[in-house]
Amino acid sequence: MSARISIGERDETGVLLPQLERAAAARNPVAGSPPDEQGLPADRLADAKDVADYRQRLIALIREQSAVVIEDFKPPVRRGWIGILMQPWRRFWWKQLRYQHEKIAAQHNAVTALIVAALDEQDQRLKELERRAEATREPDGQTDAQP
Amino acid sequence: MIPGSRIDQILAGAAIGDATTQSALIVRETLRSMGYRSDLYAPGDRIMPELAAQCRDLADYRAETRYGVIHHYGVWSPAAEVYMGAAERKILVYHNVTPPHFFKGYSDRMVALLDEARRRLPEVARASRDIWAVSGFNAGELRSLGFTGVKVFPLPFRRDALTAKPDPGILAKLAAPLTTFLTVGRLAPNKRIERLLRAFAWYHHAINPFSRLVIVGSQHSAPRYVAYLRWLAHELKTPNIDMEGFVWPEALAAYYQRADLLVSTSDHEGYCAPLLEAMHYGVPVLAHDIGGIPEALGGAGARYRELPPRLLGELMHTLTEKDILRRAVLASQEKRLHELDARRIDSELRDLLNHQP
Repeated sequence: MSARISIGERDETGVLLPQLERAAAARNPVAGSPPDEQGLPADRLADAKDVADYRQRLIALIREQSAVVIEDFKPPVRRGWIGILMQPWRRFWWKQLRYQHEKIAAQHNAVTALIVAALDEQDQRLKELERRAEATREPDGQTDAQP
Repeated sequence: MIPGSRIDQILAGAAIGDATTQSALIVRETLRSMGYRSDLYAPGDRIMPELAAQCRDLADYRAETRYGVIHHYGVWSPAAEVYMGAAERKILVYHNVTPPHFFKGYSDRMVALLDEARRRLPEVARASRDIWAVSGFNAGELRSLGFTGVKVFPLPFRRDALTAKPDPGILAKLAAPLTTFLTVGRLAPNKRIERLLRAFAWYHHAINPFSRLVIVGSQHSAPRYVAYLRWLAHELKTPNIDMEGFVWPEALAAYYQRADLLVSTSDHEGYCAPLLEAMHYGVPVLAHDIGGIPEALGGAGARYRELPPRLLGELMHTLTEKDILRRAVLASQEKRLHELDARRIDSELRDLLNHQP
């Protein structure tokens, strides 16, 4: 199936699609602009086979991304001369706020690191319990636990 | 029909903001205006407290002489079991069952529930004297299962039911002059909100950083999907995404009032009532042209197929910036609203009830 765009009852694909493609090609998105399709770590969650698989993928993602990103931030600029005049003002205030922001981010990272460590502990405990349950299982698949 | 006889409706649940509940309320009022006695029933634990006066507990549903019973089917539930056991004329209203594969990985319980609903659909349809579908798309599904006598009864929608005054708190919250995109509906994987996040990320990063995306809808049906969306929004480095969850009608009216464009990227819809609500509030609509959506729009709004996120982002920009296109979309929506206002639900119901299979 190919792209189609309708406005009201009219098919406008022939007019609008080339315009949109030209406009998108001419854009110069800021760094970090997103890819069109799958490809971000989060998308691994969307590929999970079942809930157990989802949980494993989620824990792996938390381990990978346990720190708050504090890379530089470029304040957006409104169009027109007011936007241009406001830009240095916005940059100044961002720099002033950054000190506080990074302090909070550092605390956040410490808390997240603790949560990830706790998840690892739980994970190891679960594996140990599973190993013990397996060891107590009878050859016919029944456990030896009796009421 | 015998004047004064009963036609009751059985629902799997009753909730504010739920299109099935809303349509059942309209059907009940119409039946009452036609001289029938009519009530709604749903399992007691599935009735929102605010609707307790509108919907009776299914436990109170007693065997008595009825002309007929209507069951709104979208999932297998205790309500379906009561319907199957009813002795009177059974009328199935098919609202569509979301294909289970959408929930794979997010909720094994939902996969099992929807799988059962699809598996038992033929059984429910066979037990019914009449089968009505809320869209031609839904009717097509039933016909493909071999049920040839399906009638289309488009989802009843009445503008006079949308009486809520916009919540001033929400209006104030959204007062900043940002271009606002809105999507409304329960957050379920079939809605493909991830596509909207990507399209919005393109729009926000490459076109207009003074913008926001507001996502309104219950987050209970697939919390793991919501977690995925939150993470994706974070990775797309797009902070202006508000996931608002379920909202009351007053708040919803405020979100509509502040929206520049309503976008639906859903991959599966039996009808999609929020598109009509958006039209009522004068918000242009852009929707993925699939399932029952073309019927709900009835040739109105803007529709797309097979657009990658960056082109969808560009289309969102075009529809908010180009006045001529925006006016064309709004004019088509106004025409559609007039059609909906002129709809005679009572005569449609009379014809359907008089129909001999």
